[in-house]
Amino acid sequence: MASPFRLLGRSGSERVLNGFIGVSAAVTILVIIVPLVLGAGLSLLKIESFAFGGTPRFAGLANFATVLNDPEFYSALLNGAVFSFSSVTSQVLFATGVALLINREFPGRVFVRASVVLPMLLPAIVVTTVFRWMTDGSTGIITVLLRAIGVPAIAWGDHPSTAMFQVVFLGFWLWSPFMIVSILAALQNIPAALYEAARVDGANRLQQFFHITLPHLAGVLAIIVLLRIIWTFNNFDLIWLATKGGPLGATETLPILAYRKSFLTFDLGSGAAIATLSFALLLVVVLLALKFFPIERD
Amino acid sequence: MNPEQPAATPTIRRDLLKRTLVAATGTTLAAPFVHAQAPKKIRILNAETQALVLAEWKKIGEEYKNLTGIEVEVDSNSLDECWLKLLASMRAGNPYDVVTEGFLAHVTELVEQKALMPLTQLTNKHKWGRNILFPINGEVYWYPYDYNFSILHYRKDIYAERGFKPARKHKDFIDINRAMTDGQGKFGSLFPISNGGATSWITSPFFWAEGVRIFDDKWNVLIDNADMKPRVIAVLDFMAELNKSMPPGIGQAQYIEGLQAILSGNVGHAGFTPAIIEVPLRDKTPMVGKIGLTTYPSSDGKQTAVNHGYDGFMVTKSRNSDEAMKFMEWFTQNRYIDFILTRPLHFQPARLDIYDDAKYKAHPWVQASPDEVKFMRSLAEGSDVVVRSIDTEGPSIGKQSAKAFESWAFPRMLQERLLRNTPAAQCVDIGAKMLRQAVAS
Repeated sequence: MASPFRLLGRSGSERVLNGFIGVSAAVTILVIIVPLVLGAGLSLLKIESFAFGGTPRFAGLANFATVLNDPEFYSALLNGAVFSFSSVTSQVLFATGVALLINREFPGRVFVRASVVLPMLLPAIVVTTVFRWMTDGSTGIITVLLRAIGVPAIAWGDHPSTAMFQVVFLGFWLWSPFMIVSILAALQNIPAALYEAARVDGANRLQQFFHITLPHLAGVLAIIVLLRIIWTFNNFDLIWLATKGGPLGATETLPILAYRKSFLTFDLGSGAAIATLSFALLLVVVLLALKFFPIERD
Repeated sequence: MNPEQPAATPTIRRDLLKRTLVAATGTTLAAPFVHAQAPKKIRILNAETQALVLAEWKKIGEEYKNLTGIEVEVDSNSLDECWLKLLASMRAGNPYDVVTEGFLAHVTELVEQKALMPLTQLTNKHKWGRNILFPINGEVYWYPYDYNFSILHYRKDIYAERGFKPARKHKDFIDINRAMTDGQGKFGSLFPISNGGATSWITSPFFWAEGVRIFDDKWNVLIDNADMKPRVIAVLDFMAELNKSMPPGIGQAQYIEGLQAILSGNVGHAGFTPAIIEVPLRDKTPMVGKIGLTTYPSSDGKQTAVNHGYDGFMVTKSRNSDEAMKFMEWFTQNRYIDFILTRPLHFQPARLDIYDDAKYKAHPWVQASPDEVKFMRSLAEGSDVVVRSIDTEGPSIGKQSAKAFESWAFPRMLQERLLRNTPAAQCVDIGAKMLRQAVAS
């Protein structure tokens, strides 16, 4: 009988390579494909017990119909789009500027570059809690300082617009470093000779940026923008910890709505339907992005 | 020699892989046997995460192990997390043995699934305060340790200095709050209106004081009927007025902000458990003795209220149930009082003998707060103070009442009125619609 290891390939190195691929495929199936299929399956069930111990009943597409007839779904979709667009745009612009600055030679450059990464090391719970304490309308340090100079406290969580600004800002605080580091790495790969040649040809700084820097950043920008869109659209922890989707539903995105439906109002089927729809929408966005901004170009 | 195996092929890597596979398979297959031979262990899922409580659990575990040889393992998480972990452990076929629970609907749901051990023989050994055991078909399925009332706290020293008396009427309460608000960072009150349980627990007593009922005995929503709607409107308009004496940020405030604000001296009133009195005693701050307890006012002052809360221990049905029951019997007889004494004011005792227990009475925080303990006891023993909560409204406690609680209809009504200035009548319609959707889903 042939050894099962021989099924993996003819030579030793081929078997090792195929083994690694097999393990990756198995892990992908286990932690991505299986939960995805189970989630999609749950969206077709009606589960009566909120302890999830009852007998599920097949509901067909009823959960999808319920969700798609619910104005909360569209409101959450819009909030997610606003959160995602505002977060990614502000982070890309800021990170590009900072990366260009710290790409230059200046004293203390190593220290500044290391400092830039620090916010990324903080868990979301720390960032949101610190921010809430700092801006607390009664005891927050920002409130106290503002009061000392005669400025009234800002009611961050009391208005839908400031609440959305708040979660975008918190995301900006947490995730800009990732953007900065990625763009900085790409900047360091641009050959200096290109800038020298451009200067000889009389190109000014702006022309150098648009004709040399930006085209060289296009590849990495496409990747990080795509990743950040996926991450922000799917973000749960930051918004939940900061606002729980409030006030007045102003920061309720699809993941928050799915969680609320599943684990607070105990409608697991509707929660799964929202998650499935969210996945499908994001998949379309990713496919369109890959079609129009081919990341393999770089 | 195997003809399929070339003689020249090195076998070390393959042998290593094969041996690893055999070892892994052997370990996996042997695991149940090894597990069965392991010393017995009681697994406690604990939602009380304060340092003093955790330290006490450690001592309790060590003592029980010395007495019986049985290990006590305590897994501490937030209340929400505990529920999800309990469900996960049950679905995995290995439920936690003893679980602290703070949501009655969970208890009833687990009873419906026949997942809990009755604890009636243990609860029968003591006298309990009002409205706390919630028996189901004659059996009690949890062992309460805390009433968890949300009580209105006020600054006793400022009241004494300015000649105020705890208000029974909205108008008087507003006047006191206005007087305490100076435009320089001092405010009258802080009551959250954010999404989540904090608003439902801390702010909703104003509705109970006004006589608001949410459901009739058939789960029909009442808050927008001819009797209830004016009451809800009265509370929403009162809160809009009170908002002028509250700091910014109530739209996001959760459980802790009111406590922090009153302890920092920035607000005069906040709702919470008497942890607000306990913290200055623990940390020996100048706020010791300056905070008193009272009830939430109503528009006409005829009745006042606090919000019901509750915490207790459940024992799950598992292979370990007998041992868990033995542990609970030992714990409730010998160490329950020590558990309570980790937070003697925050944990408002539901077992009435605790108030007369020499150990309890000797605790320095209890001795420092005689009026407050008397007030807590009066709420437990029964008084004219209305005691209600969203999740105990309706004909029965269970799925429907839990859905009503988690619908966040009350936070939404308050947010609409206070943050968007929506007319109160319209806010009530929005809240009623949310409640109807919640119980119908």
